[in-house]
Amino acid sequence: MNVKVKGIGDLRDYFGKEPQDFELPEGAILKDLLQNIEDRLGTNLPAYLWDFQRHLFRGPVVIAINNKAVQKLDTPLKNGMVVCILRALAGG
Amino acid sequence: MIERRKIMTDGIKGYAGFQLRIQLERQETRIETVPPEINRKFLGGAGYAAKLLYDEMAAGIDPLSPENILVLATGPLSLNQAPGGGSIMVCFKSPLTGVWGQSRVGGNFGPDLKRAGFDYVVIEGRAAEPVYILIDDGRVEFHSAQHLLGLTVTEKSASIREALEDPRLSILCIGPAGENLVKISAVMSDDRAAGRCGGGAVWGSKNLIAVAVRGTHKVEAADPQRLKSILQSAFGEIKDNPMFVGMKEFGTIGDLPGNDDSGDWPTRNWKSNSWGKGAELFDHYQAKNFLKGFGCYRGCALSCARRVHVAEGEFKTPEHGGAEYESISCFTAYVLNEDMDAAIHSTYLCNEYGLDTISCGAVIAFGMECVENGLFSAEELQGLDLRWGNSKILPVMVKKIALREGIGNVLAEGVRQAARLIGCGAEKFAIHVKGLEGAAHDPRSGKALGVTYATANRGMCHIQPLEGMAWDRGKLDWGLQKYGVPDPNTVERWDEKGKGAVVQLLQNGLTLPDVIGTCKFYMYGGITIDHWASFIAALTGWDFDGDEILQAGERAINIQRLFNCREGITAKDDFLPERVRAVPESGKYAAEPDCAIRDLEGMLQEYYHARGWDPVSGAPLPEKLAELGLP
Repeated sequence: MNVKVKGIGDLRDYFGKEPQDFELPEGAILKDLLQNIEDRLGTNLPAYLWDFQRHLFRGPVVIAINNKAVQKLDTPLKNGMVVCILRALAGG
Repeated sequence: MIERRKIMTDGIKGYAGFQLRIQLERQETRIETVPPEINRKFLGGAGYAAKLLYDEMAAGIDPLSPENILVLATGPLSLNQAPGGGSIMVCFKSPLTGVWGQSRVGGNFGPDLKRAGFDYVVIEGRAAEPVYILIDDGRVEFHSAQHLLGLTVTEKSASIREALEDPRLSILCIGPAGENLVKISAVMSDDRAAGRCGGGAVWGSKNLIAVAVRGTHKVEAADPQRLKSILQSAFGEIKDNPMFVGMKEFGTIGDLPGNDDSGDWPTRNWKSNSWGKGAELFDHYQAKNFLKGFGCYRGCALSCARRVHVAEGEFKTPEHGGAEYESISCFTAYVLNEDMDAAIHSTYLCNEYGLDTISCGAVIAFGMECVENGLFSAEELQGLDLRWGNSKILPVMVKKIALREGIGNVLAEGVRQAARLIGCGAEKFAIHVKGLEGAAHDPRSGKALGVTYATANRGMCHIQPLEGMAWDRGKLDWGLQKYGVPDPNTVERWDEKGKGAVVQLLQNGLTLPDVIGTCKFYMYGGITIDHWASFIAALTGWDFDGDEILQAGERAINIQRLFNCREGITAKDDFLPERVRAVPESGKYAAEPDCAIRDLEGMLQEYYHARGWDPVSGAPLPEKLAELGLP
């Protein structure tokens, strides 16, 4: 299946302005996508943004699907989903 | 004593309908009715307060004289059940800037004031001796505050609650800084602050030490079922919103790593917009200082506030509510302090002494640069090692400023006046607009913020009336796309063309929380202009929509501007310090010339045109005033 990954706001600097396509096997979960993100973009991601030991985003970053925050790594993915990555905050 | 029935049946639903006027000299009170049409036109908060100050206060008065008028203003949505409804606005002529002063604080004071029967409190004159006031369900008592002088905010609040035998009393009070007329002093609601613009000094000048409120009435809605239904629906919509979830999980301090990375982190008194230490500081905070999140008022679902402490060491600090992004940034990046414990401790002291953490960190950074450039003599410094990055000096300076000791007495004036007193070119180190020190967001991360800083009525403020960077950096539109704001995903943050025109639209929308009595962070979590309008419609029974509420926001900005113009503000006061416009001297963006603000004047011309303001005088044009029904 195909899942698009989109960096929101400042994170476009790392994910590009256009969504990136990821091909995943049927039944893939969010954890699988994160591994794919690391494989493709890992060297471009700054250390403060990505935990290379746990293979996860680190710090105040939120993953969202259909504008809803997703916090479970076993969240199932579906063909055509757009997964957004954004910094958790925007002011303060 | 006002009868409960009378309070809740006069006027319109959703409002108490009354204003309490307090004359401090004579210790007299008067209860006034606010006409429903005035409430509909100005809504409340900083909109209504601006009308009152514009109508009643003479131009040119000394802000620390009895002639200054202090307004505590709720809005229609200052209700515990409304998103962000734990809000109260403190409005006055600022002793720091000499122009419009407003500051918002969370907590229960706002909702409790409405339950006590008042939408607004207007405080005039000067008490002969220090007093605190209790507003108790329509009844007002004056109490001597002589015994409270010199106490910290926590001590004062505890003493008042004990004396009045009510541990749940909502209290606004000043700390020693306000008593000492420090121009950057705050009005505190426990550990939350109406920090900006020096309101604490206005209270101090009036010998007003605290106001406590107890309210037991129910604020009635015109259509309670509909209000309940749309509130439930809205909370359901936002609970999984990624920004809502992020703010709840990390608090505002979670901005440190990202803002550092994106050039939105003023560093070393604005010589740079990034430092590269944001993530490291945040990690330390998460591991060592953070205890839990909490809501600053009863019923807050967002709970962005943090309980923090420093468990041990030289900066040992008890558990308290603190570690906000702004406060911590001003005591780390501004002053090159790498010790998070020192920042936590210093901002805790600011709260206890009643200082604005933003202006306090900024004025210390200014002082450090003055020392670096030899502008203070050894005699003036009295052994203070006020150099960049010296974490040990920070809590020392907080106390010296609050108590006006040594060079703290100069810095207590804020950077603009301190620079005038110091002379010798210190002005170029004083980063401010209209006298208000800049907040911890940098317009070199996104140009819309530059227009905001230049034009905000209270000075170099990022949230009055909006945090432009949140749109400019591609994240939020707050439901304003349907009203003409371009999709943030299409915006290039370093472009300048078109930004001025958009900012006026954004400001009209983002000033609303300060007008309707709510917290702006709920708009970051997904509450839109249309949500606010629908809540107010159900609450009041008005036929009320997004266009009308946006116009009320525009009206508030314009009447505040009229107030400022009457005090001598013109377009030349809408500026940005040269350093803030320039390519940063160091950090990640030092090699990015596009981040510099090239044509502020061009953006401002767009802004004035869109606002309907004269581009030279900076005043609203007659056609605009007529459109908004302003004098």
